[in-house]
Amino acid sequence: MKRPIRFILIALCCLSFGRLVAQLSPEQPQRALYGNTGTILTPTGYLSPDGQLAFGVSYIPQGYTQINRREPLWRGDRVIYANLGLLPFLEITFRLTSPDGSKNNFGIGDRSLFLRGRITKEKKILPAIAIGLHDVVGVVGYHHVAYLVGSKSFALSPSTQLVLSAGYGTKIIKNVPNTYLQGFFGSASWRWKFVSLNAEYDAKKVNAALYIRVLKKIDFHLAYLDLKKWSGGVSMQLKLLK
Amino acid sequence: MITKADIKNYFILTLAVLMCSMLSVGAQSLQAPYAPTQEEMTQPYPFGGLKDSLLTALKASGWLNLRVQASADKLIIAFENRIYRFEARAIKALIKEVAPIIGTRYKTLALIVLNRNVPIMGLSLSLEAWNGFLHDAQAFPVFANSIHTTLNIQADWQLLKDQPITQTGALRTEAYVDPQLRMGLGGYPKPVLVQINLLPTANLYLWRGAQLKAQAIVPTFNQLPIPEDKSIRPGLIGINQYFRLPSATFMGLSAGYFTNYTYGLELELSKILFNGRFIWRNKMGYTGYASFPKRLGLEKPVPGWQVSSLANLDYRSSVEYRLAKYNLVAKIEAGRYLYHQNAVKVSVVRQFRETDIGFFGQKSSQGANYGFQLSIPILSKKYGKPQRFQFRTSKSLPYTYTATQYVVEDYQSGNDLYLFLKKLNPPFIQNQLRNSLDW
Repeated sequence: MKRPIRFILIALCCLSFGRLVAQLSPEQPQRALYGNTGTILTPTGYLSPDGQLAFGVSYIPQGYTQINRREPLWRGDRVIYANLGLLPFLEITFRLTSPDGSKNNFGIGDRSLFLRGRITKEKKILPAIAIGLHDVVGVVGYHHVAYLVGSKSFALSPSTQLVLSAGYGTKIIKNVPNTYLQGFFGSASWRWKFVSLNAEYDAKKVNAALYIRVLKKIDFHLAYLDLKKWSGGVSMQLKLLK
Repeated sequence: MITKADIKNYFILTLAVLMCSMLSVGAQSLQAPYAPTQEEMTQPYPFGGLKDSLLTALKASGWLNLRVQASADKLIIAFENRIYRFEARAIKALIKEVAPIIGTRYKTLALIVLNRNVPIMGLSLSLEAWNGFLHDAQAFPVFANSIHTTLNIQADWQLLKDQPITQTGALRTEAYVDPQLRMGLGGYPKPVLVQINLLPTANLYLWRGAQLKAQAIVPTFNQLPIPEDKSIRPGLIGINQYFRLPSATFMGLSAGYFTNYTYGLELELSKILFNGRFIWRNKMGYTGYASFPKRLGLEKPVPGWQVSSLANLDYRSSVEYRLAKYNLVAKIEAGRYLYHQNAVKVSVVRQFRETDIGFFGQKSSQGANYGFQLSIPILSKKYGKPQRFQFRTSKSLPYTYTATQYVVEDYQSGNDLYLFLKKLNPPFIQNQLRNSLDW
């Protein structure tokens, strides 16, 4: 419990930077622990803004990774990612997953590419709909999935939003050993300015998280996976176009 | 006999003549002042010494290969930038510098951007719109829409090319140190092996289109198990010459010691169509193997040159299309590369201002490969005014990641024409000036 308390204290300090924060919004969506725009582990229908490059690192504890290594010293996976809004309608995430604590030779780790494309932009009635293809090119394919997801935001007040997302995922490459997002998934985010409280069902379990954006560039993510184990991440974003 | 009447008549006559004379002088002084004719307006020097003012100011700022000319209501300036890292920023700075000097004397400003004193592209904008924007920020869209870029510069260049050059860029040397990053995958306990080299480089600009380049490779950190990479060795050394031919065609010739243990000759021909949206490029090389020091596999290398005869002929042809709205370049290239490898490469690269990020796939006679490439700008956005011998910082750090070991072996000859055709691509520059840069 010490790590989460430390995180909350840091987050509270960051909250004091009142004017240096950027509002979370569909135009500035939050990022999932795997680097793509999403809630906690599930994606949403929003894409990274055009020309936005983000770097981040996350930690997924043992038991909730996509790879079950079955080693006594293995504690979890470190995920290092780079996420880019390559075009206004195309997002790319390059992800590197390496084990923490394992003494076996896994080389640099599992490398994979996530592609997400926009089908529709959110309008008054129409939700934002995106199609995704994860682990299209990778070493093993543990995160391979193809999915369709839609998101709709509801303004509760000028500074508060509720974002609901739902989608369906499935394998295209049949012989890969993945269980990620296989079936229906959905999430809900309650957003107030630069803070977001999230809950999701990722086709296997329920997760919850706190998300904070500070200094307009740095995101902190604290997640409670399966409501049993803590996880988290931090990322930083740059605008390449301006 | 002279009578009183004669004197009276004589006096009246004289008075009349005097009065007529005075009237004619007065009439002359009331004529309209001298106005230059249309023909005189196209004389080599802009009216009023404006040319001298412009050249003095531009020379003081450090612009090179300067020429100024006027034609009707258009002022034309040719220049070369070695001050700013980003060409679009350089063009913006020059416009902001000359527009106040020109004022309202001309309606249009035309610029011809040079590299090695070779005209690459042209740009025109409305000075009326610029002055409108200065007084009213809301008028920016009118000014932005008046900016047009083109490769069709023949008419303007004809007026300038024989003009004397102010502040020549020839016989100047710029020195810098490029960083080089290489990474390889290793096993446990070092999954990633890193090599960092510094490449001190000197470029000597010679006559129009010509450049002599000399580079060394200085290892600073090396984990890759390549024995010869531990020693200081020559990098790219050679001479490159490029020409601009009619109809937006460029030709480049290189000779010397290239990268990837290659030496020889290379010829490149690039044809640009649809104002830079479509480029057809052909390259041919006649090369041989050369290495310093002598490579002996995994054994320690021996000092000295190891050279084979010129026996390899490589050739490749590529076609690239630019989606101007997004500064996205899709390219397909096929040909024969080093070591008789036949390969096809497909790539998509997006230019985010000065940062390039792209992805590629290739298929060779040995196997398939894919990966990403990026080039990020580093250090200073602006360098000092060019001197005869100038130090500057490196412009960018390139990196290419390949997923498999089936790498298509290729070399760089020092011909940076491709780089300038990309940095000075007309739609790209237009996008930057209209949408991206903050005026």
